[in-house]
Amino acid sequence: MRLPISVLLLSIWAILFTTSYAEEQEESKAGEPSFISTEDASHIISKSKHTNNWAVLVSTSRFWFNYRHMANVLSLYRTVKRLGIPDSQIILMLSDDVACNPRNAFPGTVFNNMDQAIDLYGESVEVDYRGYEVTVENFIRLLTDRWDPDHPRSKRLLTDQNSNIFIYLTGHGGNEFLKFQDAEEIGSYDIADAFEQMYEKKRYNEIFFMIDTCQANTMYERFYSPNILAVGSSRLDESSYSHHSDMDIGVAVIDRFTYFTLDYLEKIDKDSQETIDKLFDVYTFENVHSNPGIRTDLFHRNVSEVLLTDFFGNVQNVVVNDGDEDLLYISNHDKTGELLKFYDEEPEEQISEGIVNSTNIKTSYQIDFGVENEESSDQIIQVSPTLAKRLGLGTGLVVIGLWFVST
Amino acid sequence: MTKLNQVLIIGGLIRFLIPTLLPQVVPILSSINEISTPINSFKSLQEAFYYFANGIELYDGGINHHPPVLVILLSFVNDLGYPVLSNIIFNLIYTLCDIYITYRLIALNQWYHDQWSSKSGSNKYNDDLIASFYLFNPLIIVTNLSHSTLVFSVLFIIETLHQLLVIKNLPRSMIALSIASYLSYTPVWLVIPLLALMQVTNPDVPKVEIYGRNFGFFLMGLMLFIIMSFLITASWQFFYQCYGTIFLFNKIQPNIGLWWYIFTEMFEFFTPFYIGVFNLYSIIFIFPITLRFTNDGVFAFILSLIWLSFTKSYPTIGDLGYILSILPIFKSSFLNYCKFSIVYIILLIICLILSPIFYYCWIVLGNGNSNFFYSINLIWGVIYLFIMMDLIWAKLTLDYIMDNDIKDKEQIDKLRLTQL
Repeated sequence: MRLPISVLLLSIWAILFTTSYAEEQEESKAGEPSFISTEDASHIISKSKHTNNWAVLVSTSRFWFNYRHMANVLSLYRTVKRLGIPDSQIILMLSDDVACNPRNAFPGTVFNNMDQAIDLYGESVEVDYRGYEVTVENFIRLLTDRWDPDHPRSKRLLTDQNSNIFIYLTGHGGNEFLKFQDAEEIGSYDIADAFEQMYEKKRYNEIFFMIDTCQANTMYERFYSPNILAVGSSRLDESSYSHHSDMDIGVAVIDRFTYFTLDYLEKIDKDSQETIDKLFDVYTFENVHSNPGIRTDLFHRNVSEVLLTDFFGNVQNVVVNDGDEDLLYISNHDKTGELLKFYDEEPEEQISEGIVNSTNIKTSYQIDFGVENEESSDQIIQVSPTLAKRLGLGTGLVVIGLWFVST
Repeated sequence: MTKLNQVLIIGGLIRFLIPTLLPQVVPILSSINEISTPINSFKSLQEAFYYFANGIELYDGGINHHPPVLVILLSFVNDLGYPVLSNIIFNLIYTLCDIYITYRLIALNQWYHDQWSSKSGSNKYNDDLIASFYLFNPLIIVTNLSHSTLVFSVLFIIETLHQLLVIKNLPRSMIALSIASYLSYTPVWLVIPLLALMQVTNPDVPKVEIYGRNFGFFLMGLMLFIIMSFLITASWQFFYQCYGTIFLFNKIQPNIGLWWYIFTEMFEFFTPFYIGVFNLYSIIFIFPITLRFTNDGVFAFILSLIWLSFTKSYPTIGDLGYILSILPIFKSSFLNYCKFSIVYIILLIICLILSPIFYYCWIVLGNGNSNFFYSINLIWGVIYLFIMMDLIWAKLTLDYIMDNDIKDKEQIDKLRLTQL
């Protein structure tokens, strides 16, 4: 019968094609390596040696007339998100829900300015602790990460020793205390001890502690762990003031200290190189109507070298190099830059032997990297498109031939 | 200019001019899931061309389900001048395919009439009517404009019939059937009624020789293609992607068929069971149909075609379309006794109107759910069943009339047959 003969002929022809049309060797590219010195790299990579940024934003007051504390926290939430910290690394604790408060004339919104330009509650706000979950116990547990095993990961502060944490507290405070939920208070020693626990458990690289309450500076006086930079809005026996009220909402919408902080931070971007002392320069008595304090003695770096994005943003500076080309260069050239030779140049008769025990490794005399060398392919041999085209065309011709010879 | 030529020219122009002048028609129609499924869509074919041109394995991605030889042969067209010129040439190819099918249908119609004119009165549809039933069938026009590769499958199935019945060249018909089953998996089961048909049309050749020899041809043709595909792609991936997808129901995109819903909405525990049952269901009816209806030859083949389209894994409206276009060939015989064709014609119109609406409600608007769309799929299946029931009953009536030699027209009209 004609059919088996044609199949046999076709298979012989296919094998001949395969053997005579082996893959051509590709020229290996002798790329120039792009090396960078360690000094330049260290200039580019952040000086503070942190690798990730977290933010803990807490408001502690309840009731409608403390609208401005929620607005404070939500404004900083928005800023911190804008500068790059993802929701997974922000812990937002809102003690009361003013957006859906029945007294809110604009339900579902929270504004921090009487021009109502930005709705802070509008889009994609992820609140981790809400309402009565914002307690002193939860706050301390959060900082020290002492939870039940079934406490969800999204509500935990999963920092490590390379994390920079920005902690912001706002509410009603006094001499070395901060009132939580109108029923309890946290003391300055409590926070100081929590930070010491964090230091011992290596849970932070640097902490930036900002607090906007009355007599706020007293809250950071008791810290004793290293690498903490603290800012408070007013001194002992001084009150912190709200900035302005919105007549339609009916209450004050932002505090002065936070207002000027935001005013400055709105001007910077993710890739800003501004230092934090510029922010501290904004805290004048004329602006905030109180005496803000800065505590830098626990902080090992000079404040004029600390970037704002070290705490407010989440920027990782990287040095990009072309790994493939470098590896290729290093493996094919020696130190002086001369091309290495591994074998002598072989004539083409070797190739038919290569097919018998063929794998995807080419009979190449220089190391090549590329997609063609994938070992995970299902294919037994590498079939070039021209070969496949000839085989396909051959099949078509064979079938047409069979068509015409059959009776 | 004969009427036939007019019909052919208009039909050809529709299929050629519309995609040439409005090239966005092809991708739009190719995305409508009643018209083209992931298995036979033109978009995945174009994707395969790209893979092939860039040396990527054709079957690595899970998008391409076209057999390798088809991809390679059509990639020659694609290389000629992508994108404009190759699209025009593809339009031309599909137009010529449809015109070729039309010619074959006309020849089959003539053959059938010649067969039957001795037995009953000679009335058949004229050539131009048969051609217009095919060329102006909207289901087929839409399938052709979407450039789905179903057209090639249909071409070779019709060619199989033509070679067997008109030209009486058995090996060629087997080769054509092997090409058709290589292109898509479903026609492979048509070999059973086809072999029976060969036996009936050549009664003087011994059974063993007919069955053995022709089945051998079929197997050889199929093996040739499969082995060449293996050599071209150097792996068995193509087998799993082209045919495994079809009979293992790997893709569960919604289509006009009956089975996708079961795989999306039922528990996964039952999936192997359903795969087995649906494939078995598709195959098991071919045998009794063949055994019972082979005496008249083509009827078994047509019923098997309808059955396989009904239980196809990824059917399209083109499947029903080309069955509806083949049926007018039988005007002189049993089509006269079809009793309730108006029912399924109306059902067809209802399905065609409601199916895109429910799909839109389900996917785009979101106020429907898959049940809406699936109900129309069930009605689509009912259309197939009605056609089968009607045809079988008509055939049995015809057989009765033939056997009892009833010539009186009045008696025939008063005939009420019952099944015992």
